[in-house]
Amino acid sequence: MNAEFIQTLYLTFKLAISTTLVLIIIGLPVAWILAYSKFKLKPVIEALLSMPLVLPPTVFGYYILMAYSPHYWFGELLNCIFNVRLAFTFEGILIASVIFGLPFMIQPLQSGLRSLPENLREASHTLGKSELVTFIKVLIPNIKPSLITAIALTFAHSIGEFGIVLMVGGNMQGITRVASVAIYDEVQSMNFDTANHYAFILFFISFVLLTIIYGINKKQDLWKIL
Amino acid sequence: MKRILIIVFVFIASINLYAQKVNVAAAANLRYILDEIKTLYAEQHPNVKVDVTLGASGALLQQIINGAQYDLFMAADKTFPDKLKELGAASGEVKTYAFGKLVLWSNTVDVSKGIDIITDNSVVHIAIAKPDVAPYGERAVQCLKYYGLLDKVKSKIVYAENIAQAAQYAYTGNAEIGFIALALALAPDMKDKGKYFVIDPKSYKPVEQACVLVKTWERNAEASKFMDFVLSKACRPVFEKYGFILP
Repeated sequence: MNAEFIQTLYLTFKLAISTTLVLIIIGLPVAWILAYSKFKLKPVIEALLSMPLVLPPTVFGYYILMAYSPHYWFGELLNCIFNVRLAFTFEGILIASVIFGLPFMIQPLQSGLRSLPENLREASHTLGKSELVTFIKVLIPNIKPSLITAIALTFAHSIGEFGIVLMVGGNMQGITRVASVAIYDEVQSMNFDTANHYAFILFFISFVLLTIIYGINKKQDLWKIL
Repeated sequence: MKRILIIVFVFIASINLYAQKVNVAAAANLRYILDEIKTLYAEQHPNVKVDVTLGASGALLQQIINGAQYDLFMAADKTFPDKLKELGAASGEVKTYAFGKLVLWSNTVDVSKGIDIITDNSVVHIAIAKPDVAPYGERAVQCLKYYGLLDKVKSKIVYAENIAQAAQYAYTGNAEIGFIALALALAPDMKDKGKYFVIDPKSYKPVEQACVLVKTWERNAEASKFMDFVLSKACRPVFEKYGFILP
């Protein structure tokens, strides 16, 4: 277990935790909007948000790399105004990871909110609480299983992120080389021992996570959440 | 039902007999060359289907060692086919088909003055293919060491999976400069989109690109014929067009 190995694992978890935190902040409001409002473009928005479930990560990574490129408007904007280049940086793979993890956070939350009885919300309103207070103090506590599922899924999915990080990250040790990419690298370089170590640790952690989810969600069937 | 199955079987078997296939594992820098060679070959052998899979020579070697069904291995360096032969997985001799050149490519900065541009502040990222699997990447590192620039620019280097991805990084501008093969720089997709600078060949070990037939369960006569064709005079103009020096 050398310094590089530990650094790679640290980076992997840093990415997974950061992605999950950002997604909680973005995901809760979006899930609320999707659960409780009706508007014409809703199917389109929902479809867009579910794209990461079907789109191959390499396709997605390819488009993100184009987006970050200073030759195209988005990358150019970032470069000229903020002097920021996203390709091959941690922030770059974080943003890609967040976008790609959207459905894993939003869908369980949305389903959880939809499955709450409507009168819960209405009762809170009749007692004079605003939408925001209702959301924070009434709705969220009641969808705890969905919230835990969403967090665990997003976290676990982010640990396994390979295609996108490979396309956008540039495989830089200590910056964008996460465990999934490192395993691939070590196999290619024929360092099967190191690859084995990484793989086992990732497998073990994912397994433990899922066991915890199933343990907490004893009362609710996991598949109903999704 | 049985009759339908028999008919389907016969049909599939006859298709197999009709279309011979040659599976080629080729280094990424050979993409355009092989496209042209395939077309030339198809004119004389219309029944043969040549399937090309591109990748970094090291990655392809790994796949072949682990049983991937390729008939011909065209690498960007002689060490890989030699390794295959050493392991007893090759049939026939390793033949050198061309000598490649390393170039600097950019569509963001001016590379015409030479390699010193990489130390400039305007160059934030330098794309190099991973040295342990891609021969051109290995040469790029050798070149940097030769000029004493490796330490200075180490933090700017981004490693791509293969030479094609290194070219992609440079092409999209995410890396201002890429060390790529001359064959890619002269390719239709890249030619007018940027400028290249031929690096002094004495700064790196020559890129001796060699190929060898892979030992398969059934002798694929077509593969042998295709390899002979690639090495023949008919294909020399194609290699020269993409900047290769021929043995």
